[in-house]
Amino acid sequence: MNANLIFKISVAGLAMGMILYGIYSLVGTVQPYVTFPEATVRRGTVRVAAFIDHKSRRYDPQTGLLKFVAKDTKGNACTVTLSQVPPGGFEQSPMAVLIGRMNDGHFHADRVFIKCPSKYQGIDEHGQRNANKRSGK
Amino acid sequence: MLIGRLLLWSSLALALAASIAFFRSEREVQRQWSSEPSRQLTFARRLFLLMGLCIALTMIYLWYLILTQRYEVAYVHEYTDRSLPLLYRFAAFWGGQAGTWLLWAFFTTLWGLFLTRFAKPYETAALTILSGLNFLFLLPAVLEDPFRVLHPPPRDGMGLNPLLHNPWMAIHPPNMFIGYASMSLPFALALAGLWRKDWTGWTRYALPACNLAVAALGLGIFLGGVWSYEVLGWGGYWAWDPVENASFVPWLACVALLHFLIVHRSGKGAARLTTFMGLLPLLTVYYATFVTRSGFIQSVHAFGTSPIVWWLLGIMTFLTVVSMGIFALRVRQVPAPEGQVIDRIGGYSFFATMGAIIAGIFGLVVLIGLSLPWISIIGKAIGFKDMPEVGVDRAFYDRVSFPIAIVMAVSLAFMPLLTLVVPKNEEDRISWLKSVPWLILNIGLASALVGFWMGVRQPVSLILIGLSAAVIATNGYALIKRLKTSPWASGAYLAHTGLALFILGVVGSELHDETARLVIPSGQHRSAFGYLLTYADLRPTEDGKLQVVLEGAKLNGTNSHDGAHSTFTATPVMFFAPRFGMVRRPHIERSLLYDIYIEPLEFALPEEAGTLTLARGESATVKPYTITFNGFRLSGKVTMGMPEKITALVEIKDGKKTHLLKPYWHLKEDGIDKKSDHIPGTNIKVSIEGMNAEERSVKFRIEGIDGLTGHSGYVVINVLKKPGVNLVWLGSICVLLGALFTGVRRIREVAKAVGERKGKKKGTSVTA
Repeated sequence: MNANLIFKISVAGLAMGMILYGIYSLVGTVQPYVTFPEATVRRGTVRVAAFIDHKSRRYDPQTGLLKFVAKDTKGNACTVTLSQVPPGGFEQSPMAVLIGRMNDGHFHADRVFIKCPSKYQGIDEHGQRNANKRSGK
Repeated sequence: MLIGRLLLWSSLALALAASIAFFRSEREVQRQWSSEPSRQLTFARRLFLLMGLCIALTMIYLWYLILTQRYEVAYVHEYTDRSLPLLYRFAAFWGGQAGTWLLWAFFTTLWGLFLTRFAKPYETAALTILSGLNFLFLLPAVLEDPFRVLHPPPRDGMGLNPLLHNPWMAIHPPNMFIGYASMSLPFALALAGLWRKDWTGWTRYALPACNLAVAALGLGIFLGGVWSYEVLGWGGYWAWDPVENASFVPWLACVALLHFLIVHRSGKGAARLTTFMGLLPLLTVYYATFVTRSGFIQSVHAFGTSPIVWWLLGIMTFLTVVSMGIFALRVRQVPAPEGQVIDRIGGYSFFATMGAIIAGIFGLVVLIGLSLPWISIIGKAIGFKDMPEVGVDRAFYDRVSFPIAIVMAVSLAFMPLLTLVVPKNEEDRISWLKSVPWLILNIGLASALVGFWMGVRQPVSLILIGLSAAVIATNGYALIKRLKTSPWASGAYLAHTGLALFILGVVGSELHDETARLVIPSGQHRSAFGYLLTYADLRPTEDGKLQVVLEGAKLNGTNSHDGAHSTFTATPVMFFAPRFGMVRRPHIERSLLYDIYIEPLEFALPEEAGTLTLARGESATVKPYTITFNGFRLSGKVTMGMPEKITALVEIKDGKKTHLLKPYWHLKEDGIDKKSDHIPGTNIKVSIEGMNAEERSVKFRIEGIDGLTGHSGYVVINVLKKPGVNLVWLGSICVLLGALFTGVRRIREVAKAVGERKGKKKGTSVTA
């Protein structure tokens, strides 16, 4: 066996190992997008893409949690508590992805996911892209 | 605006024309009519320059419209407004899609000019492809139609997102597009190679170009990280956010390509793989653009919100099918050179192959994580209706990064010792080979022990500290050795030392950061991480933002504040931007070893005793009462946009009964008549003290309820201690400089080699 072949085999083995490890790492870190009612049945961490009612946003100085009401894409409203500092631009985005789990009828979010602020250009309050109602057309 | 449209359309047409002209002169070159510049080539070059000029003019015209505040123009209206300061007005150019496509095309043109000067033998073929790419980059800008005139003409614009009101906004996006545009260089060269049925020739020029591309895109990503850390408060410099990943994958593809190019250049091996990798940076960067611009991979937006998305999908498919099709065709047609991939285990190309594979696998894994949501979209498309949409947590990336970092660090630690040190004879070589692993192990163990002694206990951190230290030691040694003999050739060692510094920084700032959430009442203090923070003031800045002023003092060992003296003033900023909501800006107190990162979370203005401020829908509990402000009722005649009577609907529950109170303001010409309301049979009386239209809140004065003692206001902050952040910056800068130095060196080498060949040619013609 020459060095080249040994090397090729070991590299292939290493690559396979890494890819298998990658797939293995996916287990447990894959989070499904669900609605609030679906989140109640699921165990583990889920994601809910939701409209945030920023007017209901309130901070509780005792528990250190931020509370707000969010509505998922099917229109189900739910109270959300957030333990993380809301990311910059959170209050500016009509929608966010909430990552967490349902507990006692509340959704406990560990993290909130919003997009790069530049991506929110041209989105109005109702989450509609204003491309749809361009004047001049 | 007609001129703008005309210029934009001309740029598009010229890109196509230049591509065709270069295509024809490439046909001439391939038929070997002449090696001298033909008229066709001169014509093609002129068209290319004219295209660049047209793109530049389009950009200048758009800038002109933005700066002269022509709000009837769609692009100006959508991304600027009257209140915007000059710098951000200038930067608003790349606030939207059309501007960024223009920028991309412009920088691609500049890179193209670089190719014409530097890669002469490949000019015609590469620029045919590059001009064609420019056509594809300009197409979405034309479709977006930034010069569209709005009817009726609006008097003001919609403004630029306040988070983008930052000097970084003027720097980061253009840098990003220099990097994005540079991804076209290896693509154009590799495709040109395939076109000419040449597996090897193009790599001579692709190697330095690839180095510059790694530096250019790396700089863009780095600046994005700095921006994110300093302003956006995304919890650090890197969050494995899809937008970030989308720029990271092409960078990794480019790094993998760079290493494959080194392998191929040294032994003519891995020709097909190198060419295939050459196509990937552009394909992944276009994919990344598609992902971030279409937006639906995060399922935040409905599918296909913009018609442009379908165009992008079409262009992406076209690019992939054409380039991969040509590749597959050539693999069957043209035998690749039978080269040697690696010289020996532990040789130079062995390590380069390792580098390529590590970067490639890392890129693949990030790509899989980024693309996971597609699985469900595709699943739904082929009929699995109840397939849930999925996303992957950042823990996935952290987990997969760990073994990759280990393999990378191990090979980087060995690399300089086995390639740079040349023992005199075979005996020495064998004893050296035997001692190298022990040397590295000892450096690693010693460093891990130092880490342990400093209080690090996590095995993951200790392993990474040990390995990184070994990499720094061996590459630092090589770096110093090289700097003495040939400084330009030290780039690789600089970059690899930088990677290890970066890993150390990540270990410090991500695995050993600490967080504390503090609620500090006005005038009082709380302590965190050896610092005493006093909430001194809440004052408005000149531009109407609210600045929280915290006095910070370092505690000397004890937690009493006697020994503390004020060492810094932290001024995190919070403000409410009318169209965008709350904006927070962290304050970072830097020191050599760690940063103290203070994020404002929320503040409460002082509340007088006996008053209560409630937003609409909000309620407060003062035992045994629950007081809810349900909203306003407006009635009476409307004058000057104001109704005559504003009634606040207040609900007070005392545990048994619910009372609805309606205090109101009656607006009269000679002032306001304030009327209170009370719960019958009690002394509870509610009146409106003040209103805030912006926050839709009302300050009520409530009499008869004990417990409304008021407070002096408080601020809620998050304090993070992040050790080693400076290593992250230092490491990144080393990587970028390393890539840049090597690029410059290789450009000079190519120029020299080409010059020598020319000299020889001339010489031979003279002797003949």
